Amino acid sequence: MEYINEHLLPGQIGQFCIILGFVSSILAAVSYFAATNSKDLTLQESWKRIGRVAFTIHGFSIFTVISCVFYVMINAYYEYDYALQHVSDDLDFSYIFSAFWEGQEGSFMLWMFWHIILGFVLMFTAKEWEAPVMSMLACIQIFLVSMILGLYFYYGDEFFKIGSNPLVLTRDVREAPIFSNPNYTSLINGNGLNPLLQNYWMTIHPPTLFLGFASTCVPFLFAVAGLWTGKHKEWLKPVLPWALFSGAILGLGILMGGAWAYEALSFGGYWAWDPVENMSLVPWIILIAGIHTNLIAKSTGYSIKTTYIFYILTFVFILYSTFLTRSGILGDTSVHAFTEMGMEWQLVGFVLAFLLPPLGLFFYRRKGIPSPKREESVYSREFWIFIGALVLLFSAILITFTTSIPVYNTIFEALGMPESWQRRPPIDVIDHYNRYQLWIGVLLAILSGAAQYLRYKEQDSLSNERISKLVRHIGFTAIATSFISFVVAWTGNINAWQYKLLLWSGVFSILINFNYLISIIRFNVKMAGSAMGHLGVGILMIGVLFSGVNKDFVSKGFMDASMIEGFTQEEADKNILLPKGLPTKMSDYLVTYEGDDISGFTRKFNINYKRLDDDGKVTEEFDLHPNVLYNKMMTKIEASNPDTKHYVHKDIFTHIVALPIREVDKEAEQKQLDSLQYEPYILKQGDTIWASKSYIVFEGFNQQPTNENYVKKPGDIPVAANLVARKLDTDEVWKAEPIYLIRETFGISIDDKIDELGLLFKFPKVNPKERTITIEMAQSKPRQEYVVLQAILFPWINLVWFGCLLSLFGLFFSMIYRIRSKRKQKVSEAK
Amino acid sequence: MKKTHLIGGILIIIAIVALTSMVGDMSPYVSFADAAKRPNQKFQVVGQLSKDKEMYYNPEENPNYFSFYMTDQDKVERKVVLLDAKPQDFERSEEIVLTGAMKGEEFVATSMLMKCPSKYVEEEVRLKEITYQ
Repeated sequence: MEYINEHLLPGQIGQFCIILGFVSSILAAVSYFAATNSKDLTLQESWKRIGRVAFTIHGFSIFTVISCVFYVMINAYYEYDYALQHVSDDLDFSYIFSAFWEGQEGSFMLWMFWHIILGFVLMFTAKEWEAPVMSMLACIQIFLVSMILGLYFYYGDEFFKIGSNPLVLTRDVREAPIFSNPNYTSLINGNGLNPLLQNYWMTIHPPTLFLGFASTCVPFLFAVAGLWTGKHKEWLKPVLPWALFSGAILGLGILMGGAWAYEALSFGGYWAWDPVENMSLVPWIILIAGIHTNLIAKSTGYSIKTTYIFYILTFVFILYSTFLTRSGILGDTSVHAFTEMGMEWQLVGFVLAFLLPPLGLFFYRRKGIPSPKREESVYSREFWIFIGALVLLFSAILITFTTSIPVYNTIFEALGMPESWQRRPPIDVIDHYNRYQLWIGVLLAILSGAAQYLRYKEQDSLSNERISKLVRHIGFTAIATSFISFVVAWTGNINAWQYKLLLWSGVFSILINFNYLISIIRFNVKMAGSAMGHLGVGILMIGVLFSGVNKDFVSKGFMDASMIEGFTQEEADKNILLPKGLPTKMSDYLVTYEGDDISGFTRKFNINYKRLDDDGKVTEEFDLHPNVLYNKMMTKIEASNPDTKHYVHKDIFTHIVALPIREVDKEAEQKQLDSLQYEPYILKQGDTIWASKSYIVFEGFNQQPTNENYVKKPGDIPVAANLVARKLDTDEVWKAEPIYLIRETFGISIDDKIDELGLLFKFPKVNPKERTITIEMAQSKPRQEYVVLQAILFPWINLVWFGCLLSLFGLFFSMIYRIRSKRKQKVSEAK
Repeated sequence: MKKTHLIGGILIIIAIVALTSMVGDMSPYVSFADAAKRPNQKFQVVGQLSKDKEMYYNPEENPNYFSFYMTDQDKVERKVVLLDAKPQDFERSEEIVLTGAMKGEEFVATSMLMKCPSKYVEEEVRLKEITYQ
């Protein structure tokens, strides 16, 4: 079959480059491996050169593949399945990046892209570490390219697939009658980008997060290189700026995810302990632990073994996290819906390939890893930082344990264990995690502040001078903290003792780190980064405490929880119904659903808030605009996006929870309409129909009807009946204009209705001889326009954002400082 | 013994204690009958929507009351009252997980998770529709 209008060249170029990228990464791995292990210097150099060329070819091959896929997507060539899945004709160009990494193939390519960039930097900067580091990086790339290979083969009866190719042709992977048409390309339209992903966050969050994921490989690479070459101390210095970079970027990516959830999703928060969120946090926690033991190892020689383990585990957990996310094993335990691609075994293999060999190497080399003979003193900085790192690891283990429930279930099922072994995720996820993470937070807040006043390599006993200095700093801070916490807890309504303790430790951390920052910044700028980082953590903790514990459903309304035993008022009513135009009391606010606008597929609601004081005077007024996104047919709601009023000290978060059925489910609406009973009435001009709560007068005819259901066509002869309805007790007047339409010799009724009175009218007949008309009327419930709203108040949530950003800035600051001092050192050495 | 090893050992013990207590949170699904044995205690019940029975949500009357009928894993059917709004596409759910307690003959749920037909399946169907014109 000769197909026309297919653009096969981009696919062919891309496919070739995938293979080339795969082969060149193997060559790079092998060459750099040989370079690392060769004793001869000239041999080493020539292997390195081959490795560099191979990696460069690999890099540009992958860049070409990415370009081909982009080209195909921008031009909407639906003959390519990836374009069909993620692009549509009406897709805004600004979303093309989001569409690119919407699919698994795209996000793998994004990951590979960042590894290549990092690889190029490493090629130039890693110096004596280039060979082992690049060798392992090329190995990682081999696995990543295999994810987009798309090799299919049969083994006996079984069908196997290695990777999922982003440049396959639609007609090669789908069966449909349309492919019997040679011109099928002009007939199809793509699926487009999931409406939930059509916002700017989808453009910035994935690349940042994936750079974070990618950058965790660098500490891993250095760790393996250290084990491999046996140079167990020399790698600790060059790796540190990379680890700090990774911590900052990965942390920023995770923070963006939280901000996205808070701003655009309606679950009402920034962290849901969702499995995908958890498994991107766990590697970050382990990385931070590794950075701390790295610092110890650099300054004292202790904890080198621990640093190896932490950096290796960081990357392994990134691979584990990608396995959980992409394999579909999380199923219904996560709201991040990714489609399975049949690559589960490849992903498991990926994890094991970078877990087992490095651990094996570690065991093989463990005797050679140096550590000082003398034990750490209890008064030393390295001792307490090590304890802190263990606490971080503890936190990571707890989180991983619960998040991995679907994995246990799968393993139990595969081993044939009884059904009762299947476990479900906890009922109250937030309580479950917070129960332990709270103590971890308390410990870390106190440790991270106090330990900075200790010194490295401290002796086993302290001089009186040292003791008195420590007591002064830490002791006075503790007293000030207690005073401040007491006041804050009292005014902020923090009652449970656990939360008071959390508050105390957060305030302590803020005060002591602030104190340290001020006093140290003049002498030792290097430590400023860590003080800022720890200060940020303390602020974050206070923010989490207030915005979480004192989070308040402002939209309390109707239901009385005492009607239902065992439930709190908070659980019983979170939503409130706002009839259109009717000011409704909601906590201290008077809220009115004023109206809405439809533009494209988005319906924006105008909700007016007035804050009243005790006398009923309006002290504050603002409007919020939550919106809903309809599907393409305008029959169902795809997404509900919140709108939030931001103050310095709190946020008021609003979203639409429900709309009248008729807005949301046109099919149900139609069914209901079809089931109504119409009664016929024969009317002369001036006659009246009586309904249950109103009366309708037929006032006359109208040749120029304004019924919005009617669209005039040439040759039409429309006649509308002016029906005026009134209620018995008010002066209000409503009008309806059902039309008897003559079109092409047929008489049709164009219906009209009065929603507020629940009246529907048909105009089926005109009786010219009797000078009467027949009107059919049905009565249903009076329909109001309304929205069901949920509003939540988050006190001090800005502290969460500020604290996080400050911590990340601290990491970044430390990184910049170290890179600069390295350069300064080089300059002075050259002199 | 080295101090750090001692601390590590203590942390391991604390970890085991913590993890064991966390397992207690990971209850298997229960049935309506199990929940009825201990009324007023919260459980997770899994089941399927009884599509032929009445679903009642009238926000004008109460936006936080949605009732429907569900059949659990033992094929027992009960009326469920969810203290929240009716979610989108509820009729298309394949499986429902309710968190709540049995009150008399009704199960009162404070939250609900729905498992809908996989988006991939939906997209397959849609793509078939797109390509078949």
